[in-house]
Amino acid sequence: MDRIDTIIVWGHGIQYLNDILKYTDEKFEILKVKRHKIKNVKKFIKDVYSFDYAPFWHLKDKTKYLLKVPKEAVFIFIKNLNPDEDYFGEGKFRHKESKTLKSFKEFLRDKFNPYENNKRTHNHIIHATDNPTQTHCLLKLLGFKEGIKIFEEDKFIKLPYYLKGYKNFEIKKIDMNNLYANIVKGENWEIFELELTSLDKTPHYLGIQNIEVYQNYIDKFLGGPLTDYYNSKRYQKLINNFQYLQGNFINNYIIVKKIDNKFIILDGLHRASILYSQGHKEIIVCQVL
Amino acid sequence: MSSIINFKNIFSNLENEFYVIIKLNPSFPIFTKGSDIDIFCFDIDKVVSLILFNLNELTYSYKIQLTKKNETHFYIDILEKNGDIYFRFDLYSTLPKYYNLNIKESFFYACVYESQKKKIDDYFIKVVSDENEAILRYIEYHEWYSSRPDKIKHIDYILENRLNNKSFFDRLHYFIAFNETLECEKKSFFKNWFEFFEGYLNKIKIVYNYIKTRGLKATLIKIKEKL
Repeated sequence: MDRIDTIIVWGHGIQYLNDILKYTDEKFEILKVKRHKIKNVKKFIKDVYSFDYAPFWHLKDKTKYLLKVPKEAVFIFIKNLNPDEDYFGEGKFRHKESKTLKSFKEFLRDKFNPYENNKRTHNHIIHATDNPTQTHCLLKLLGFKEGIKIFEEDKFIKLPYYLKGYKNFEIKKIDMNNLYANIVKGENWEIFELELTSLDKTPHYLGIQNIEVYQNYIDKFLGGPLTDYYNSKRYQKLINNFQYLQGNFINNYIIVKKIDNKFIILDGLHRASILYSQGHKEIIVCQVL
Repeated sequence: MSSIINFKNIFSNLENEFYVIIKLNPSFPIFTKGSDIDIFCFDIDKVVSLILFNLNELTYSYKIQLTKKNETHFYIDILEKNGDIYFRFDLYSTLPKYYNLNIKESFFYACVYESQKKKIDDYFIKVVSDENEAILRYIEYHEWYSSRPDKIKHIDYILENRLNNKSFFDRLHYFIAFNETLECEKKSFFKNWFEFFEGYLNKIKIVYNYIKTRGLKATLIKIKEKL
């Protein structure tokens, strides 16, 4: 049975973030990427590790090095499709853990932890959760009040968590020239604003012709305003294999909201861009009411 | 009315799902404008998505609206461009709430599991068994007869189809219990006023929702009709 886990990349590991995401994407399904500026390092470390099996006094020395690394962390929330759980540790510290994630954690540490005298140090660049309850608590710590429930999707129409409150929908055919999206503009993932942009001017649509435009957009804002994990490789794969509302995806409508006679895409910008590039003039969408 | 809805595709796609149509109009698939079809099903999310999928082709000339009343009750409306209901799919994954009867939850499962196949032209639909149909009609009659005398039609149906046999009464008594009758209490002055305001508040909510989903013009027409 699958479960949801978290990988935390500490400040000194963020330089390897793209590689870490690439490896993680190969092994797990990445659900969300969230960057976090740490104000009070001691408190934050204590908060994160307070969900651990081991008491904090035991972890205090082990986490001392984190006081000296950049005050930033990236949370990667993943669906662990094959957790292969087993018991680890002795006595008080005995606990259940995913063998798959544990070995992946060690793989990343082997690859990216600092080395001294050709020996891997214990200044780990990543931490991983032992169970979904820890993920639930971490999400709450980051301000997602519903915790792990944010990953529960409505299934009658595939709706992301941020649209779960809607109860009235209309399935309709609309002119693609009337589609817009809120695109992030700004300096970096911390300083940005949203700008309503017509579909043909979005980096998603322009990226189909020139993938660099799209990748630059993702690189700039991933983990900040963009928390859904995407990269050019994944997008290219979608472009090549995409069939709208077919097979297992019959309820994956592009979700829109009508504001001032414009249809704003709330979910499905990648899909809409592909359909537009394929020459579709009209598409069936699900409008939230 | 000959249907523009492709019932054959819809029910063929639902073939492997646990569902049952209750109180099916004998003239189905011919129906009058504004009719509905009530469906009990186990996996309501899947049934909703399969029905919607088969209605996509109607988006050229009709509006397809989905309403999630709650986790276990959805309806899918096919609306004409002027907002009139053309047809409605009413879907439940638990028994609807009845106020005048206590019904065992297991009756819902009995209805779905004991469905029978009915041939329509060259495809099959799953309809409720005759015995369960009789119980459902009796429930409907008992729930509404005080305010809707026309619900006597359900009793007529049971009698005409000779469903009022021992087995019917055995099942009826197994699955349902009547609510206890409470002594009438004289309402207090405040309770009366509360109910008065509550009634108007509900009406405002209904009008607000109607405007939100159908627009002001359709709402005004509806109000005019009611007046």
